[in-house]
Amino acid sequence: MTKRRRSRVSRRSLLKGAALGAAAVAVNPILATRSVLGAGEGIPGRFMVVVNMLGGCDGLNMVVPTHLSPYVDRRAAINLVNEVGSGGGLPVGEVLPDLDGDWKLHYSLGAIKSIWDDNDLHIVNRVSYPTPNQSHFTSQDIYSFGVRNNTQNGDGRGWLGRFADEFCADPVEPLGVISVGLGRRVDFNSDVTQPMILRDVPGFTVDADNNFPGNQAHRLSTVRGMLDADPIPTVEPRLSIFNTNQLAYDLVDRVQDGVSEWVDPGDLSAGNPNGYPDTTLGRYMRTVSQLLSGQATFGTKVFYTGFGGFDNHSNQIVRHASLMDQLNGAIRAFSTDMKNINKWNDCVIVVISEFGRRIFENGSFGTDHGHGNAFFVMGGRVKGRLDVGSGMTAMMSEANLQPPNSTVPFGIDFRDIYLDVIGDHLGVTTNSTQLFPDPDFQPDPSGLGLV
Amino acid sequence: MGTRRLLGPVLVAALFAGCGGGGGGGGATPLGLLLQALQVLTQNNVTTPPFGTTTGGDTIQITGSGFVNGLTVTIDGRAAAVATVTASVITAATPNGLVGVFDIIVRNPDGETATLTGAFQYIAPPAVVQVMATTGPTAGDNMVPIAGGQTVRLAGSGFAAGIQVAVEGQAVVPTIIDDATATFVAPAVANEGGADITVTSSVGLVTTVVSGLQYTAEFSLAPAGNILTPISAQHLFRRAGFGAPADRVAAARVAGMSLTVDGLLGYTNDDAVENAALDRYGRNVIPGAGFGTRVNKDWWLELMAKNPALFQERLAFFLHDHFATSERDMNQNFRWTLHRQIQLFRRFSLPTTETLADGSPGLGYSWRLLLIEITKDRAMLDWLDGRVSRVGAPNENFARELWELFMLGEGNGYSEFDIQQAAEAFTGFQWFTVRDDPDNAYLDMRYVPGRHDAGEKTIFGQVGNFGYDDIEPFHTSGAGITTDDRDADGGVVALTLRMRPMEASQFICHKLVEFFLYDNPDDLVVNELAADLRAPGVNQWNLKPIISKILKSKAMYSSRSIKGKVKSPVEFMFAFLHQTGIALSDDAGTAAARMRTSMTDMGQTLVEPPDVNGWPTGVQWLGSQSQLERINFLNLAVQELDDVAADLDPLLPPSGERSPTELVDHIATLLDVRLSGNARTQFINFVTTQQDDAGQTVPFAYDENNDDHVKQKSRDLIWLIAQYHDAHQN
Repeated sequence: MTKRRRSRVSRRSLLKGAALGAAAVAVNPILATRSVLGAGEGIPGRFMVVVNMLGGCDGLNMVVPTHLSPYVDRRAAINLVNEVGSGGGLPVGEVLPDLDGDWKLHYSLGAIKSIWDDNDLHIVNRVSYPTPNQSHFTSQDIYSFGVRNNTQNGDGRGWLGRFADEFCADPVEPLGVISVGLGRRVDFNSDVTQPMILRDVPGFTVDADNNFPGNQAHRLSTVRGMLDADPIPTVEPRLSIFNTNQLAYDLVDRVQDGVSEWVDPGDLSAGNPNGYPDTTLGRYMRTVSQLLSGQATFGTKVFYTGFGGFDNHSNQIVRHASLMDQLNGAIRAFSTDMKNINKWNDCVIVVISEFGRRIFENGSFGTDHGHGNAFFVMGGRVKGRLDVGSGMTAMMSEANLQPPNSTVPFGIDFRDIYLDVIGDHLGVTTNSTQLFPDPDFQPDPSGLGLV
Repeated sequence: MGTRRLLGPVLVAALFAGCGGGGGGGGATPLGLLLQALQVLTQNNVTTPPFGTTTGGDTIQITGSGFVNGLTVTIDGRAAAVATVTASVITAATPNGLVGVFDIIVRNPDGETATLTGAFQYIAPPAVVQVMATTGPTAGDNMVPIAGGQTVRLAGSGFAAGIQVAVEGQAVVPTIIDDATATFVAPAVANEGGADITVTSSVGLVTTVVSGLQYTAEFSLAPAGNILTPISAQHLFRRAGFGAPADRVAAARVAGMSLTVDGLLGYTNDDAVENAALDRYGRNVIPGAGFGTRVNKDWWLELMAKNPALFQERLAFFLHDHFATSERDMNQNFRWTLHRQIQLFRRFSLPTTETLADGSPGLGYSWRLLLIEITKDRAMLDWLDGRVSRVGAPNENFARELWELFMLGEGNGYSEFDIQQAAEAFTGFQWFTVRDDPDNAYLDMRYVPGRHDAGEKTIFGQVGNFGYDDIEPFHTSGAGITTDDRDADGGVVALTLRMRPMEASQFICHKLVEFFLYDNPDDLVVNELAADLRAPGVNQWNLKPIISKILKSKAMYSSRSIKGKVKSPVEFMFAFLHQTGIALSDDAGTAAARMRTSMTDMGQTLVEPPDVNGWPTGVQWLGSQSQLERINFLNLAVQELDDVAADLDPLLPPSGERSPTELVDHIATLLDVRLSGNARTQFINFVTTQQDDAGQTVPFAYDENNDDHVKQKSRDLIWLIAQYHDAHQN
């Protein structure tokens, strides 16, 4: 079952003095004696892909409570039960894939429905954290730092930065956690192990001077020789820039060599039935696939990617459908790809968003910021289950439906989902405070089942 | 602290002490050695038992009887230095010892001993081993600004509850973290220099750290000297522009700091440059339909590259990040409005008596006017859903972000209820199609009184018919509105500035300080500026004096400010282009396109911020791939340096002075990059070496009079030096 310890002992205290990079870590005698953690931690080959839907996805139109009349009543224009013109927003001819007779999926999520049919999809509703915040940026910070109020409770590191510092630091492995396409979100801030921030593999190169291509090797050896011998800066931001320069040059060849055997499933629009759609998320998931071909040497445990546009305060139906279609298409291609290369059982995809939206539509055919949300957890080892929580129906009672505040309440902490995937799937022994040192967070298994 | 403590009550710790008698076993003398009490004459005896310090040297007085000259006194096995002995009184100096309670053992010369059990304790005086500011611009150092306000951490020992801390005699309130750690907030002082820290324990033990804090005026807002060094001049141009070419840096040094800042902030609009950029990139579509995603970017990049009024684009860039609006998902028939929004930011810093080339008037740096303009800015009304917010169906998006991101800060002075009420106030606009020209049917915004909620709202506890502050010019445009529909009780912007002046002034000043000065500023600097900003008078809510004060301050030219930030991609690109004068292409039409592609590759696409919170800052810009893209941008740019006479001569030392060392040093100065000794040596060696086919580094017979040699090597040197870590610092 879930491997967890409640402990205040953090590896950070050991690493604090050794934050200057790989060289400093390697000679740290305290670390050298620790054999419990390290690059060998966890089950080889297993990985997690976090897909962040930025802007606050409307979970109620993604996983739809068709049986709850308040959902229909309070969303007169944008509910997905009734068709357009008949008291709802469901485009004529569209059908919601059914989950259990009551709950259904958004009409664009056909591929995700197939994963459900394979018993590989865990749907959990009401995900948030204690006392949800309705600011995008505060809420995203809580998701990224893993703690509320980073300045008070946190240490400046993101939860994935902590993960990398704990489990990818001995020896330092910047490919243990990889950001794909989203840049350096604070999720990746670390003390010791700088996770790789990558947009796409073809662009991950150092270009030659076209007029003097023969000089490239000499230029590169000069830079590397200079970086190797240069004094390591002691102050910020100089230290971070120096580290980034060094890391970028270190990783260029590793990444290109590591993925050289990749078989590209291709582009869907170019006629490859199993290809990836040419969308933001489609491109990023295709890049994850490419990076997975280097898994033997990269040992990546977590990929983090996502796409934006979910803050649909107005005209939600069309925008949301296009985003759901993008999610569905990318997941279809990726899950097919993973099955074809026999990695589906090594894979868990967690689809998140910083908050859900109100039960009420707002009069602009959109929805305002809410609290709890629906998450998808998918993969070959995931046990199919719909966990909507017993409070859902009660929440839809009249007393709770007074506008404009009515929203899905917090029920499951997002950090519990991460911890369950990290423990039960990645096989990494951790404890809640290592990754989420938040006094408000009381870990409690999320109910995620794995086979 | 030489003063003698008052003597406390004499404690009779033990009335009787048994007589050890050594191994004698024989009956003790009944009237022999007897110990009655102990006092510590050099301490205040407020504890039970009385204490001395672990460092020893305290004078103790033992009373009793049967004392004989030549006796010894021991504490925890260590001998005290006996000073005087009478039959009933002993005085002695304590040895050093460990923290704890101990017996006093007196031994007469004949071997008779007596013990006063648990009669004395050692207490460690507080010790300070490190003093360090943990907040403010000097975090990590024992230096603090004279304005005070920074959290200072003391590391040492003996910090128990009840300790008192003073800085130069000014008491401060310590927070005890644990026995070894305490913090306090540095008080303001009048003068620079060392300040003693005294720590007094609850029992009166005092430790003084002479010059424990170093106060400096370097981080104050007091005016800096007028002299611009090469470094400070480049710094000023990077922060108040995007960097400047060598001739402007040289001119600024002649003019001095004060006139240079005044000139940057008090520019005149360059109509020719503005018109030329607009003619090249899309005048025909403003306003207009079918507006592509390149127009705004190319037009503005062209201005950033060419506008001599550096500060105009710099401040517009700041405001664009602050009011971050994206055209990414905007309707192509409405995207022209983002041009208007950028123009709003560009004319913010123009005097109200002047106009842009398009005739729109300056805002004279008025923060209040700008906020009012933003509430009715077409692009903003679309971006944050104002155009669909109507009576009975208010949309919270704009109201929330106006306070959270534009005016006050998250949760700072408003409630969710205030947001809902303000959302009702911000109702009434809608899209409509302009069909003046059947081939150019574009979208515009109009104000419809019937869509506006004119009812009563309660905001910040104030009840009234709040609405927009001003809907000019919309009430006379297109929709046939003939009366001014301004709400009777005024607008939400004015209400916010009136009811939350402290929060509003601190919020924008904090943001300005972080942009122009340094990250994580201390509160006192922000608060001083905020007090200026909200002070009633002609300059109330005017940002020009605030920015001017920042740019002229000592803090601006402090070690923490210079090169203290990380360049964003746009800052990195333009610092390099301005310093080198590279135009990216002779064909002006494609120059902007190449800048556009580069900025996107590096991770910052103008007019497409990631969300309404704007772009990341600081180290969040740093990532493996974006760093490679910066390096590749430099590669793209240096390839424009084709011709030695036309392109490279302006960037290099005069011919005859192009030895490897001279090349490296000259280029480093041009790019304002300070190289380590190692980097300088390796780059100099790079000029005189090459790599052979086998990958071995072999000598290269560099000839400084050979144009091809100079071209190859100087291009590569510029590429090498411009990617050095110092070049990424702003």
